[in-house]
Amino acid sequence: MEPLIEPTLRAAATGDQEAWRRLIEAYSGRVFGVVFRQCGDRELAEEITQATFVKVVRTLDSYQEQGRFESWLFRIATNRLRDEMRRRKRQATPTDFAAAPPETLGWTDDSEQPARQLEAREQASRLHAAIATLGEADREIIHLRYTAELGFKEIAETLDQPLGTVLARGHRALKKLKAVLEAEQADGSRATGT
Amino acid sequence: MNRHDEQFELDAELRDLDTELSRAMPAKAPSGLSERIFAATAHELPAPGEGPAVVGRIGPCWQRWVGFAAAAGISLALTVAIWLGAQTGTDPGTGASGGAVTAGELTDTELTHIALALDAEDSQPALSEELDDLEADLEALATVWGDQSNTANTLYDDLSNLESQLRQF
Repeated sequence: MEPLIEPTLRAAATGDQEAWRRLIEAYSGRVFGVVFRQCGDRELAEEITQATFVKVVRTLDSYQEQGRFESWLFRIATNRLRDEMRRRKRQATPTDFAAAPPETLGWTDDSEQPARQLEAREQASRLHAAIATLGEADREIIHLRYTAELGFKEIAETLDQPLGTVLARGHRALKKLKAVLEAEQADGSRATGT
Repeated sequence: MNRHDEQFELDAELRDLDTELSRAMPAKAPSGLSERIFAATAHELPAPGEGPAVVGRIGPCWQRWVGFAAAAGISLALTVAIWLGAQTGTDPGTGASGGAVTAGELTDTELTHIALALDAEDSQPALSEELDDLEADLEALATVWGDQSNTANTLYDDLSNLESQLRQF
């Protein structure tokens, strides 16, 4: 995707408003998703997403990291989120998934069957609730991987960590998540007596 | 989007979870968010044909300031030189007053001020270069600071993880 983004970036840097609009449409959902799922505050997530794009447009002319736009974009967003969370002196709060807008929960099933939509939403909520029990660093890796849809190389650049470290942390986070889901399933089975 | 890194070979037991997460996690922006962001940022784009916007950069701003100061200095020096010339100058026709200047010549004072003005003009490129160097140094410092900040963030996260694990234990 990155090679296709570069011409759009160059066009936006010379004042092409349609190119800038395409960039926003391509990335705002992913940036919002990563931030929202870590802070659990929709207004704050929208504010940080907007601030991220303000920072990008103001420094677009000095962007020189060819092929690293996604890392650059998400580094701005995650740093902004960390700063904001520290400024507010609070820890990330688990998202209230029941109250979350459906489009932010993902699993965008275009099926017109209500039963299928409901099932997809329940599965997404179950996963999000399990992820919310993980530590902050594990959640961050999971969201950068699956919400931002970054490769591990891009995650390593975003977090400014060695690739090996990020791979190990990603694997460890998945194992923890699997353990949480299995424990939840076992509890559910015991509760229903099956 | 690189969803299948060569370096990341998942265990068979984690593949299903990876697939499930890949389906469940992507998010769309809330309705209208893209439009609101566009409305809040489009005016920051440079006007087409005018080149990229210069915002928040030290160099061009300082260079313009130095240019302005040099031009003001030259104008002031010339004004003073002309004023001094008027005070001490002679009648171009007779050369009666002062006796040192003839018609069409400049006084020593005028020459001195013009030389100073020319020197100031010559030194402007050197000052601009120095400012460019300072800008580069500042950017390098900012990069180092950013790296250290990221490292600190990582350490902070690791400590947070350790703390939560210890509490669970």
